[in-house]
Amino acid sequence: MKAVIAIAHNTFRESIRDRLLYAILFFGLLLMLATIILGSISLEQDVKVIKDLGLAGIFIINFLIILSVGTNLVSKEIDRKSIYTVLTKPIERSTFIIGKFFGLAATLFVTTAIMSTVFVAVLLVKHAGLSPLIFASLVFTYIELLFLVAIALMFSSFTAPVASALYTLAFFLIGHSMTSLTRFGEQAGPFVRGTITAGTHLLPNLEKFNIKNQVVYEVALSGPQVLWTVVYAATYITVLIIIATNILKRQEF
Amino acid sequence: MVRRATVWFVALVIFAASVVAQVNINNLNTARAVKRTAGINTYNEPFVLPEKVLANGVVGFRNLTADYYWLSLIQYFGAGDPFGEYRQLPHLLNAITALDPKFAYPYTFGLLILPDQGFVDEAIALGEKGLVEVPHSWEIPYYLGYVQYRYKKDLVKAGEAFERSAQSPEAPAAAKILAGINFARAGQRETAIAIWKVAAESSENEYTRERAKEYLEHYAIIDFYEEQARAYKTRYGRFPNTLEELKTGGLIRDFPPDPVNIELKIDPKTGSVSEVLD
Amino acid sequence: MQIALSIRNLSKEYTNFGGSHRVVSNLTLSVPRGEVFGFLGPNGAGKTTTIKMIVGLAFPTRGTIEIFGEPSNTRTVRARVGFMSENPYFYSYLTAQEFMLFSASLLNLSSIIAHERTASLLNMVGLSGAADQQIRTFSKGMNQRLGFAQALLGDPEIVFLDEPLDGLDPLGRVDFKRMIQALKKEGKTIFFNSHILSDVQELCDSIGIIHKGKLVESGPLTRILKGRESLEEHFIRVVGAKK
Repeated sequence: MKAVIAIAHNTFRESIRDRLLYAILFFGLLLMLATIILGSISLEQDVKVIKDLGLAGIFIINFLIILSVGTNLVSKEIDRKSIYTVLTKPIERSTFIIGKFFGLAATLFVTTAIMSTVFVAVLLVKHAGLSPLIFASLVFTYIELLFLVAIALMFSSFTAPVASALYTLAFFLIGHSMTSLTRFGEQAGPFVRGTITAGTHLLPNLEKFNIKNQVVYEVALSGPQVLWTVVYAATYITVLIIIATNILKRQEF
Repeated sequence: MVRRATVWFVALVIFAASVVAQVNINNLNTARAVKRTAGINTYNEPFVLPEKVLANGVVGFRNLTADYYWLSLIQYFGAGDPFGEYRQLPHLLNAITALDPKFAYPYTFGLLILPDQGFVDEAIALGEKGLVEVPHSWEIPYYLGYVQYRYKKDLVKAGEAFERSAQSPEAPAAAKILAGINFARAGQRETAIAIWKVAAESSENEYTRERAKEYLEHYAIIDFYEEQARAYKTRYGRFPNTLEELKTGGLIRDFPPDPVNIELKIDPKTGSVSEVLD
Repeated sequence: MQIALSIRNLSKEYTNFGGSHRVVSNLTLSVPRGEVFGFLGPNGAGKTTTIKMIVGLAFPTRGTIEIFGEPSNTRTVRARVGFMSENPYFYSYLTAQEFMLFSASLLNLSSIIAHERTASLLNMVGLSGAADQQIRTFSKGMNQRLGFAQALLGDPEIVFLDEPLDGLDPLGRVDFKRMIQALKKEGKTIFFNSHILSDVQELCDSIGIIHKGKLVESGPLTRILKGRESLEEHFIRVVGAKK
């Protein structure tokens, strides 16, 4: 446990000292402020535009952080051989993976919190009214980010950063195309439909975390929706971490 | 230290020079732009992806894409169109409402804007989609009723739409008046004025209110012409054959600017002024 | 005499598309406790691969490695082992002190001991002044010193050093040799790879010579050289003959 915390803390510290993170975050804050300008030219649809753009912006910026920092998590350590120092200590390789996951999760928590603060401030300035749904959506966004961290981490444990960034991006796109895939499957023959149905159940379904639309139109969340979404994320992330650990256990340096 | 200050000073001067150069480039461009007319070849129409692509392609960011098209529509409409009609308007509005069906304002906006650009059927289709997707809105059926009444002359459908608008819990009291009007008997202009008065006073959206006021001004201008036509008759013993004769006959110095920009004609027998599309 | 490290029939093959490629072949050797052992060989002979297998970064294709009589890949054994890699490189945005404390928590050391050892080891390797400096500003030699300090953090009984003297300036080499000798006095077993033969001759009790993955010779230095020739002459004679 101590080692997990140490690795997580170290990952967090490394990433928040990285200037790249600040560059991305700076653009994120600019984006939050830009929502005001874009909102003002929308024929009084500014609250909608600010909510849409704000929530999407928070996600996109953090996703960029995952693509740039997250996909490096393991491969950079292998590249620079800093992993030698860690893995020759009396710890399990799973400890390393879990620590990395929580380290980046902590970083994303901080960046999400900073951007959310600005977002909420913009909403307050615009007298948009803060419904609890906004906070729910931010939490769901964060859960989706954790999901993507686990995916990036898994790829990072066996491929180069660029490749794992591409794979993570691909998973993100697939994860949000489940509705289209299902629709496509309905028109196909039984074999293709079966394959697609299986695929939509097995592949990560990120649309489950997308409640941005519900927020804008104030459609309340139900208890079971929240519960099942959290259970889904927790179990899937665990499986991804187990896969990542097993890949790393076979790795030689 | 002196040398360092010098370096900074020189850098500052060079930077100032770069600003000057930049401003000059801008001025040159503006000078050139004056001579250039917006021809079809240089004109950029907003490009709307096919709805099928949008439905499957913008993974996770449907609202954001809808907003993007909404903002481009606002930029597009009113900026001048060499094709003479804003022919991308129906595509843009369909894309927006396909991506974000609960986004209420584009339906209203489409009902207000599309018919005058010649897209009456498109406006009605959009309005009917809006009735399904945003059932609580009073404005969508209200303007749908207007389009049915004004452009389709379908009094039954117009009556149904106003009825539906009046039943919405959000409808202002004034909107209920429309539900009671007997369209078959009431004068066309009076009805239109009644419709726009409600919108000018009760719409939640400033743009809609402005648009309604423009229509009211438009009808005030028609009233004004008819008044002048009667004066023309007192002076010359007949109604003018064209509106132009009001000017040549010395009754009006200039045509008042019509904010709605619909062509008007005068009936030389009765002296009544009406819109050309009637 | 207790055996600190015992390697039996160790082989390592890498398979890729073209077939398999043997890097270490049937290596058997043992190092008694308290000795300084020098593992020599030309570049690409399999020195680093062997050391990686010992510390668990690579896995043997065949054979066994035992440290103090236990399999080398267990956590209890790794707690008793120190390791410094070749050209060590660490987290660039951490300071030397932060890196040491991070390593200490991986070793599950208490905070007090971690701070004490960090201070004394940084002092020993001559990095006290740079303790609060970020590692990305470090020179190669400073990285090497930090790697050495880090290897000793868990107070290991046996230390594996991969090319510890490589890339150091003459003063640094003197420092490192002094530190290795001091460790030997404390009774620690030291296993290091090197191709700088004069240093090995100066430091080691016994040596092993590896060439093309095979152990060519091993034993106490005095027996191997028989007092007649320098290590360099011997090495050239043994390895050169095989070429």
